[in-house]
Amino acid sequence: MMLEDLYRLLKSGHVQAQGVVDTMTQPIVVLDQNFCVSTANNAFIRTFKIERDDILGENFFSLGDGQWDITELKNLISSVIPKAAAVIGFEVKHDFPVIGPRSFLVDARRLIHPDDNSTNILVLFDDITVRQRHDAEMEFILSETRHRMNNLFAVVRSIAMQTSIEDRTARDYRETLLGRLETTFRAQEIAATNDAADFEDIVRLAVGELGGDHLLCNGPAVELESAKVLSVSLIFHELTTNAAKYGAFSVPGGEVHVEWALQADPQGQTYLSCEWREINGPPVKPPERKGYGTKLIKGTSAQLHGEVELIYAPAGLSALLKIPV
Amino acid sequence: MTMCNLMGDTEHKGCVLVVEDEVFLAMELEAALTDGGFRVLGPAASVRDALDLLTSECPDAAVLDFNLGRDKVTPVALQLKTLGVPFVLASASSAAELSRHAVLADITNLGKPTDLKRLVAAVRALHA
Repeated sequence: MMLEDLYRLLKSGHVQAQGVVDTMTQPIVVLDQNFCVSTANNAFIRTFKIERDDILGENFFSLGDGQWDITELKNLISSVIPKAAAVIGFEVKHDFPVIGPRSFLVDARRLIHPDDNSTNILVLFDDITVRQRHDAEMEFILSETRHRMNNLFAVVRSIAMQTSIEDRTARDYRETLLGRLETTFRAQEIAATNDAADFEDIVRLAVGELGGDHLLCNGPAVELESAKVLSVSLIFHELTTNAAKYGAFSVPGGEVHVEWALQADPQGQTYLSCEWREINGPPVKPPERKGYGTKLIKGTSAQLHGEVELIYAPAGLSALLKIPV
Repeated sequence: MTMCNLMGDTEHKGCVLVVEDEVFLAMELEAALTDGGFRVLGPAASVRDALDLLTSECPDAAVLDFNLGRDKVTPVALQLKTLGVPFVLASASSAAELSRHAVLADITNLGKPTDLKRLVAAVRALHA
């Protein structure tokens, strides 16, 4: 073989080896026995935003402000050559001067050589910054989901416990329970997906199919912030349930008139003042005991910093609701 | 540090501040504490409401939810600490999340769903 051919062969072998290293997307450097950089691939140059000429021949541990000069990593890499050991997945978290805070897993291995006497070390860097951020986000989402599930279960349990079982059939209990659950979930869905909701829409949704031609709404457009949607929905749901059992929705000709207006008090606070008035229903008498529905209406109004007054007039129930908006 | 005046008359019923934004849960806590012989301050559904209530009356104990809409209950916990009012948490949040807030680190969390008997017993223990 001519010397020239041998040179060409060696050169092409070298070019191919460099090509392999450069093709790798992970940053790679090859260090000699004194830990000086003999090769760095393009990914390394790109990742750490450095110039190839600035690092070739330089001691790895003094590169870029000595950012790799970490005693533990140094000891590990130092043991690679004498012990033919490998450093695998050593995590380095560092705030790098140019590229900012990053996390890397570092692998260091003795470069394989046919004579098994290589004194070079191949160091690979796996940038796990994005993966770790992603893992942290996933963990946050999972923990948030667990939290919401627990909360949801607590709400369901609480509704089931507070819906009374006395003097009612199982069917009635089930319908009441499901009515409250459905109102709650629907309202939470609206609140979660909108910043605000139209008051009339909320009322019509809470009254549901019982309303139809029997529900007459009259008032200006009022935007309810999402935090108030559930409370307002519950108030009108409970009024509807009551009307379906004892009031205007229990007879064919009954009607419910809902009228509202905005008012401002002297302090400049705006209130939504609303009247729910049942007409053409059966004669009304005040309930003998305060049911959970009534408590819920009062409790919900109080939570809204509002007031509610229930007037059991013989001609039909009226509810006067005043809430700040 | 301002201490609350705990010297009530002999008829003094322990007053418990309840901070919970879910209306069903708030009403359930209120009913359980009332049945347990306490008077309830609130329930407050937000940090602002709770702090407002604390300016008008200083309770003997408090039960706090951790997440209040988009806010955390920590400002209320800090105010209670300043006032010397003991409190417990009733929250679905994890211990890890709660321990990130120094003021909540050593506070009992009764969890959610909350065992109401345990809750009343815990409040009674605070109040004693």
